Amino acid sequence: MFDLLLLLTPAAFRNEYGAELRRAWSARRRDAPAFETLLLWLELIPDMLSTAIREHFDILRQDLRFAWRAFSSKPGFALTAILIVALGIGANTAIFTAVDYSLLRPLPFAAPDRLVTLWEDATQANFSPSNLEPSPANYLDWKQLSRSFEGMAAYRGLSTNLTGSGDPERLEGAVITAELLPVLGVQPLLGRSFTPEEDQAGGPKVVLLSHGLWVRRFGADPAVLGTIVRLDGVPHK
Amino acid sequence: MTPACFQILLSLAGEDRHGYAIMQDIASRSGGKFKLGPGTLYTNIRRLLEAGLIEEIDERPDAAIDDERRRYYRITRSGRRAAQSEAQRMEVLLRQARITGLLPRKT
Repeated sequence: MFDLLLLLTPAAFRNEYGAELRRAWSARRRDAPAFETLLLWLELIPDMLSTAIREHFDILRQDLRFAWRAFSSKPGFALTAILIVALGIGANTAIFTAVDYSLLRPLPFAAPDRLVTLWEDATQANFSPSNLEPSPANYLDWKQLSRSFEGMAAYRGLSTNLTGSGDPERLEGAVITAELLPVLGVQPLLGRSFTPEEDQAGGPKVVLLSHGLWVRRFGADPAVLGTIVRLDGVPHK
Repeated sequence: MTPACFQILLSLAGEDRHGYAIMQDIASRSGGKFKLGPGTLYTNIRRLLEAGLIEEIDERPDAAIDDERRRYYRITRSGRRAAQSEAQRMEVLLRQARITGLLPRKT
């Protein structure tokens, strides 16, 4: 127990005075009557905790004083050092942000651990890469015949031009099947998802705006629901 | 000067002592009212050493009965001066406390 308390103090202090502290503590315990043992421990714990805090604080103060003296005597060196540290912190933060979003945080869906991406395996055809996006016909077959999944949905990337009110804007979006949002377990903030009728060839042209676009282009106006938006010159509702 | 530092200087003003002897001396002089824990003691010993108010010595008061691993400390000349000026400051405060009736006057 005493050694654990001693571990809270900085290594420099421990190395210099640890043995002395232990000897003083042993002598104190030896000289005190047995019934005072508990009281001695109750005195020792706050004493060692406050000592650890004081010693760490003293080291910090010494380091800061030393750094300030070194920096004020060589400001050029100091600025270079600060710049390098700032760049290091910046790079670190950027990498961590990317890793955090892509690897650490769960996907923003209802059950991300139950979501999988389906690929066509083209190993036998000797294609490289061997993972291919399935053709629409294969997707429809898989969806109809598969018993392994609760639901299946498809999407592909889409670049389109938004025209109408304001300047034209190039948008990066996706064409999705009606099942995609239910499969992901998400709901639009405003309005509804697509219906099976809208998922048919020749069905109504409908669009779901991203939150960013809704805020930026439409001022987060709820009345945007049902208005006409022109994508590549084609009106969408 | 903190009370703990002053107590340590006061203890070493009489004779050279090791850490535990300083703790015992302080406790006995104050009738057990002022107790220094080992952590507080050695933090203040470190500070006093750094300030040059005490020094570590190699001599042993009684080498025959002493644990040779123990470290002994001695008050330096500047440590004695610092303790004296602290005591004088306290004396002035005590005098003022008596004049104002905060403490009973000496008979």
